[in-house]
Amino acid sequence: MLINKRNLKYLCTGLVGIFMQAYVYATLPIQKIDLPSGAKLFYVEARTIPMVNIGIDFPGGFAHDPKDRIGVANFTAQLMNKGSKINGVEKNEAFIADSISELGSMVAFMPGKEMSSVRMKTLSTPEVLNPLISQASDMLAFPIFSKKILEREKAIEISGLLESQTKPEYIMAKQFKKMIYRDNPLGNEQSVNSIKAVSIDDLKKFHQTYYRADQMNVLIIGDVSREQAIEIGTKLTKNLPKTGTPKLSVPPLSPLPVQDVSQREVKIAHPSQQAHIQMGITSPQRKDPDYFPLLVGNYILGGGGFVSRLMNEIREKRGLAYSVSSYFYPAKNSGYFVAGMQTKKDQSDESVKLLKDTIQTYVNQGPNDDEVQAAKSNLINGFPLRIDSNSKLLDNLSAIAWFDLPLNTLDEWTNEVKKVTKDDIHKAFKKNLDINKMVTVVVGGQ
Amino acid sequence: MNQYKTNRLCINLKPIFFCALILLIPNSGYSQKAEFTHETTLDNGLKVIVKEDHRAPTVAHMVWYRTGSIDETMGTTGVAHVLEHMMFKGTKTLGPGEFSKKVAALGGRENAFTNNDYTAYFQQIEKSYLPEMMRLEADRMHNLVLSEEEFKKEIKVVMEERRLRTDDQASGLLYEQFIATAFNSAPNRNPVIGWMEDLKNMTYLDAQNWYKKWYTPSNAILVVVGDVEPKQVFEMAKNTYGKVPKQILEERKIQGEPDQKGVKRFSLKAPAENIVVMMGWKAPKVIDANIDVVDPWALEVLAGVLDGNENTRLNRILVKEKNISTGVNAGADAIGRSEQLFIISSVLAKGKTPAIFETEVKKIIADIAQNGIKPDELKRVKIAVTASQIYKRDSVFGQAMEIGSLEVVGIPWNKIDALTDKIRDVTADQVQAVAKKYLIDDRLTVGVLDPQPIDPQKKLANDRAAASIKH
Repeated sequence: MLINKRNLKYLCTGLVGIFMQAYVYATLPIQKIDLPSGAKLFYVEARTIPMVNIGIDFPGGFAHDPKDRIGVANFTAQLMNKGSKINGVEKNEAFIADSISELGSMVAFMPGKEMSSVRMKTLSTPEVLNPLISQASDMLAFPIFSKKILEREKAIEISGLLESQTKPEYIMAKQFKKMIYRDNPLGNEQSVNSIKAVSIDDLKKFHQTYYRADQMNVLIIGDVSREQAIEIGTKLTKNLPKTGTPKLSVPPLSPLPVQDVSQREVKIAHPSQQAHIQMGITSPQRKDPDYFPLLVGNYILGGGGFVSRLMNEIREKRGLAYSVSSYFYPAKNSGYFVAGMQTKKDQSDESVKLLKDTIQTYVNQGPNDDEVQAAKSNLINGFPLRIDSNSKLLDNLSAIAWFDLPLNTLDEWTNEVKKVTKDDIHKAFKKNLDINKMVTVVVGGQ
Repeated sequence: MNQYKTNRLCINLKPIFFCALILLIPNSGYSQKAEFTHETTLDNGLKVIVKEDHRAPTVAHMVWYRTGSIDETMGTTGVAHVLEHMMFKGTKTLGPGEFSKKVAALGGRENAFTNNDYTAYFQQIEKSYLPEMMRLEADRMHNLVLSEEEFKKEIKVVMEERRLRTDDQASGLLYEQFIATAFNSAPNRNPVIGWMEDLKNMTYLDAQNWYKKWYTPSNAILVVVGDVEPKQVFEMAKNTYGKVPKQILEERKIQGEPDQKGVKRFSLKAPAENIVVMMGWKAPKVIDANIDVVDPWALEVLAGVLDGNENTRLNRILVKEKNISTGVNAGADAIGRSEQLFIISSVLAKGKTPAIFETEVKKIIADIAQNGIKPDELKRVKIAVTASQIYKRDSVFGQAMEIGSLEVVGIPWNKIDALTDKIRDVTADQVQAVAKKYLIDDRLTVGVLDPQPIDPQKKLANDRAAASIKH
């Protein structure tokens, strides 16, 4: 509806030619190695800095929790560093925290929706690396789940949850996810009651079931040789169960149906000064052929920082919001698209309409040539910034391993972006972003 | 879940609720040697610092201005940050927003941020586009066009930002009230984003005056880190920034803070669930870049001893053993133009009162003041500092931030190693001494967040329900 012609004009000038300069940047080779434990190792050698980043990802998250005890995956992760048998001796949380500090290392256990993760950062010198790996290996395999600590952590979690429930952004996100995920376990959210119901036995069972070697991706990047990496990966997973029985995959998310406006728009009152607004829809999984057209297309719509259509319409032209953006969240079997902003209460109706109109116009008409060129130019020229540190590379490794993408994904990334055409984007958006299926949540609006 | 990227600014509200030791200690040290880092000053007074890092073909390009919210005066608080926003609104040769479009087309990531002490602008980009970044940034150093029309839209954006970060955030409101209570006259008593009334009354002329007064080469520092050749960068700087005319900078009036004479207390009501308590003591800082002092560094180490890992004193005693807090943080800042505070803050567990918390915190401090700290506690803090010197090299941008944030408050880059040594030299006795000397009531401000229900009716209903269960 409202395309800013003036701005698009200067997009044309200045950009011609830049896109042509896109160069080929060789990434570090990723090696994939099957470990004796059944785990898969993804390794990149990076020798310049005497440090190593290590990650472990495995299926098992909120989506795997029993409906009445959502929080099991979370508390299992939280208690993994609060007591374990190390070298055959029981050690408490104080010992674990201090011994890791004394190595100058970091170890974190993180629960997610579909998977749980471990992340470590350490110096590569053997005096530090060896004891850390030895201790982490025991922590992974032999946690001690103490009832007293579980009760303490539950109380802390509930206090945080109750705090969140007073915040418009939390209320909005919760309602939005409810409408996107419906009864799919990906929408599992902790409640005070579900947290209270979590028991020590739940944690033990979760650990037994999901912390198992054959499901794990071990990610290593840094100052270690291939042999050392294999040794680290082997040590970390050797004491874990090799296999198990349960079904680990989460059922795919069914696409949202066409619904009447009254069914797909929710307004929740809140005394906040700003209304928080989100709208979105289920979208394809990471391996879908529409991934790149949607990526490039979303840059134009709301992903491209200060130069997106949403930013232009809502912030630059009207000063309605500080932050407005859209993104695709691709998961293993499904994903969702979301656009959102916050604005002063009395501007919420106007803003919702603008958000909708901007998205609808874009879906109906697609981008223009200049926008496509600008988007591809940004993504291709900016590619080196996605891989210029070990920690960024670890994130990429994690995604490649988790989504089972080809090992040359990073090398091919800019080519994939290059291939995307204006038509591809238009078709992908028309196919996936049906405005009549899109859900909207406004908290604290008019 | 933080799904909205914050754009064009992160006001540093001090790490109130999420700080870790590693972040509190100036991240310093490793290879600040001359062979990697080079410095020159252009004829117009612009200082240029280039650090080589050839791991990846990218570069971080930053310009830091020695101008922040503490240079503002009452009535126009927030103008430093507003000007930061206006810096994207066009120059004599660029239209509004065109700066960002040019950077985006080259694949760059850009933003800017304002703090008490400084304002900084940056781009991260593939190295071959550095000359264009320098040309663009030099252009807006002296050719900015401030139109009333653009100002009127952008000031609305800034007010939305204030609502988002402060007015609708109990913790943001508490911190704002906290510094405004702790300081009487020091200008960092005003929030970086400015008071809402000042934002409402601000005009484009306020921003223009600010720009004219402070945006000049001799008040700025250019920092470039990445896969670059220093001589080439100096040459490029000469050809771009070198063309910005020299301007004499007005002398700054130092605005100090009178001695405090007793505890200050306040409480603040805001929609929230839990009680939050902040305790802050007036703390010493490094003055005139003289890092050969002990107390500011000893206080940083003390913060690490109190809140370095999950088993340091505050966490162990208040969270794990006594269940008084659900989370607690301690932090100190040795360096800055602004007056400093040593702050301990905490979200309280259900049923625990601010008085219980305050008593326990004071006990923990008294224990250190009387009995000192253990060698192991000291050792862990120092290991964290040492390790952070290695880890920091993984980020080109982080290295540029380190150099810029120190240089802009007068600490030269070649003292970065010495700073780390200063922290490593701190003894257990010195930590004990600063606990005794500074963490005393006469320097203390205590702020309490008194949580209010978001729906008063619901609260009444809940209370009745709770009451009926009891009986």
